Amino acid sequence: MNELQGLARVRDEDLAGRSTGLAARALFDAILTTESPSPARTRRPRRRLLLGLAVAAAFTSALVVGPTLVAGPHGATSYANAAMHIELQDGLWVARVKDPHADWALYEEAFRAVGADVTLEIVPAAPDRVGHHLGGGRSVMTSGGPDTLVTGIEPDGCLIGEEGCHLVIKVDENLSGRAYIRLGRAAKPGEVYKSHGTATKAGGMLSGFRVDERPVSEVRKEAERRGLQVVYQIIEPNPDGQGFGLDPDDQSLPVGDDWIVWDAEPHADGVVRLIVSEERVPLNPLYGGPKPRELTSG
Amino acid sequence: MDDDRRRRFEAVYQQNYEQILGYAVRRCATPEDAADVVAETFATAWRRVDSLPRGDEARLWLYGVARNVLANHRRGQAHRQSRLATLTADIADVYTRSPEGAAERDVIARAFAGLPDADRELLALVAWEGLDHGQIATVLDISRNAVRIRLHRARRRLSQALENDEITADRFAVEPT
Repeated sequence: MNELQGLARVRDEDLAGRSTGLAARALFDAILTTESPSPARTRRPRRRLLLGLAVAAAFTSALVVGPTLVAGPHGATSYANAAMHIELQDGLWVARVKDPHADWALYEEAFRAVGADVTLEIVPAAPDRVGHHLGGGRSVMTSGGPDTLVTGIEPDGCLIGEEGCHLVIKVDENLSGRAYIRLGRAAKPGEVYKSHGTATKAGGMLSGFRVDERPVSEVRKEAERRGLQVVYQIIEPNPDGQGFGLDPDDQSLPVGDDWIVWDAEPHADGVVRLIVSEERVPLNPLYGGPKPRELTSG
Repeated sequence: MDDDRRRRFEAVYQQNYEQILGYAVRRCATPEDAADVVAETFATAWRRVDSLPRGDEARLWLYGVARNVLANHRRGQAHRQSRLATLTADIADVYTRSPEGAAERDVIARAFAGLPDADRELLALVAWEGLDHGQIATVLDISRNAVRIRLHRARRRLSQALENDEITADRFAVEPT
């Protein structure tokens, strides 16, 4: 027995269960909403550079090139450019997206112009995720109450693309941190969704059909019966089923009928993506246990 | 790809949250500091998700990040996250537990506290995180041989400190298990 252990304020075993607690969840959401990965090798660094240039340009020539800035006694109270219109309403910055396909730099330019440090990415999403914040929730690293950050469609239930129907983002006027918002928009035909979530819930492509832990052949049969095209994402589960790896260069392997499906996700209009592995492992590696029953409904 | 990243990070987060929380709580004087270290460690992991190693290596990698975060913190260079109320509150109860303290432990604690930082960290990685030489080498990014030599010296210095306090040093084996 190592007596230095007695000096430890706490042992890891004493903390068992905290990884699924509220605090752990809040931190996870906060990280996903305020930080973004710096990819090793994608186009993203270039986009960031362009974005930086666009923001710099906006600051030097905002009033000349088209955006309109209305100044109040405490600074700007509204701002508009080709992509977005922002105005102050009852202590909230209300941003209405005029063009959901615009360069993301224009959204950031608009928020920055009114003093809000908000990065907004609008990405194609499955129909039930349009207007939803896909980043995982509001950030606890920002100030304000539960309404600090709200996203949605206005008027409620309208179809994006129709006259007067907008994606809307409301941000607390006193936002003190940096917010990262990833918002779902309707996908163009054939466009791959960037949203994430199971396809088996009510209203989903495979609503009510249990896909998890079944062989590929059974799930594919049901998908085809529903007129869906099937694509695969191949994962490499850890042997104990606690988590998995994924090799992006190894996705073109032929998937066998007897491979195991762990979940299904909407991939694009009329296309469902099955998350599969060749080997069966004791736990569903996506969930670290059984997929919750309530995720298969409808 | 972003969804893959997110899933990967989520798996690593869930598998290692308690260990990184434990690491931080054992080394930080206040729940606020521990919350900061945990938050910054995982924020770094998300920013660098493409470099995250797989399996158990991920935990060692996170310990390495946490160690750097902690060092920055101690130098007062860290950007303080002041909005971690939920996490701080969650950790606070760990700090309010009354230690099962004994006079003997106070002596050990004093000797331990008097060691150089590097010695303390090495001994703690063995005693608290349960790491072996190879794992410590990964966390500290040094060779196994260097770990062996430095641990030997750290143990010797701890023994000397304890002897000065008239506690028999060989009762406190700090060999990795």
